[in-house]
Amino acid sequence: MHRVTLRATSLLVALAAALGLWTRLPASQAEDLVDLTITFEGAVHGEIAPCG
Amino acid sequence: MARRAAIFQDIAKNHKNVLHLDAGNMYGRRTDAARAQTEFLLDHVAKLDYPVLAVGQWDLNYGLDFLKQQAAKHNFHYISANLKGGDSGKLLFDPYAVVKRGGLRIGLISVIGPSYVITTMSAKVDKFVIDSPRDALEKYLPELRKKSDIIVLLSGASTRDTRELLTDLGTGSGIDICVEGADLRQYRRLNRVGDVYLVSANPQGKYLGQLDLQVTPKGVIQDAVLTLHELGKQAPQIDAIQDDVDKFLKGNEKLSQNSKVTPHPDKGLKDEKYLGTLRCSNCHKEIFTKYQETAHAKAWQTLVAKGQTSNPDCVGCHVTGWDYYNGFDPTVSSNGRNTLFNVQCEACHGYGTMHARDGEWAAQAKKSCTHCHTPEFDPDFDYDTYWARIAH
Repeated sequence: MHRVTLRATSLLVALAAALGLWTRLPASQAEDLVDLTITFEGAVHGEIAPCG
Repeated sequence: MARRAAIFQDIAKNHKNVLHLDAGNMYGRRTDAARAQTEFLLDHVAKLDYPVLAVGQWDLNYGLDFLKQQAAKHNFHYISANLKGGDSGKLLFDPYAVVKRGGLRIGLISVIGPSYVITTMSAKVDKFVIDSPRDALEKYLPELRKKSDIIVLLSGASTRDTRELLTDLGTGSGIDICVEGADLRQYRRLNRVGDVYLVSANPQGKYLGQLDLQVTPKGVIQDAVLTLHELGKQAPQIDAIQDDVDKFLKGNEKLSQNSKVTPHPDKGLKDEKYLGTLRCSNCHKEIFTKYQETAHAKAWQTLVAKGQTSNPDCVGCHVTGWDYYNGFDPTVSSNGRNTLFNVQCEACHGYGTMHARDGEWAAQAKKSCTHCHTPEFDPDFDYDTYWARIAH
């Protein structure tokens, strides 16, 4: 009886682990995202310092 | 410039894939002093790792040769997809470029607005043709898309033309991000025109935009966060660069004096006159005493200290009656017009010869603050707080 319970528990644990892995898949995809930082400006018009 | 460099340094510490872009019109006005200042600016820009620079119409203010000399000197890669030589009919620059960051291929393409007329200090020599931006983009975008994961358009067209252009090109044009670089426009929020993110951090080097993106390896933008860095007094700065700037401005002041700015009066009334603060003080002695302690009374001195007395973008808000009939004019010594330095009584209250005594005089002045304390130039402006500093 105990063995059956243990086997059933092991199966459940294995299933949960597989499910966990599956639900983590999108997270692993998220790790593939590239962080990119763009700085931008325009119409500087030769300015090098505020007016005063 | 010292502040921009400090922010770049800070960004570099916390972000690994950084791309610095300028959407054009980095060059100054068509005066000798502004040209010297532009050369100084470019010397420092060269140290800040801009892989590509867009060509705007201002960038040709000193002629094509000057721009090409600067490009050769600093190894700048200028791009423009629709600027052609008037004689050759050929593109003067590469239409686009591709740079890599974090394994992403980023396509950069630039256009100038069709409504601009390019006038250079050597206008007799240089002739230019600006092709339709739409035609240019429709021609080059398909091949650029094949070489890129993301495409950024650096638009040297006006805000209106840029929006029309993006709308006309429609969704699926291939452009992911558009940076405006012509109008003194600033977007404080992330804009979308169709499927394009539209950003702008102008004007005149007083702000720096930052776009933090999360992108799939195939170039699909999953997340975009916009930050605008104000390059005002509170911003961090690299002192060594600021010392260099101050030294340059002091040295350039003499050249600036030789190319004095002249107003172009088109406001106010031709028959009225500014009388000057001393005339006001004849009756308003107590107010005059208080005025002398205010920043308004020292407004011109702040420009002198910064070497900006010949910068038309600055002068208007540091004198009285700029661009008004009979207002400040450093080239005119008669009528006391060259004594209208500083933000005097009449800068807010109007012509002394129109002095009213019915209370409207004060009420009118209240409306004048925001002529200079604009959101772009003074984002912290609050009437009550500022009034307390000059209450009279």
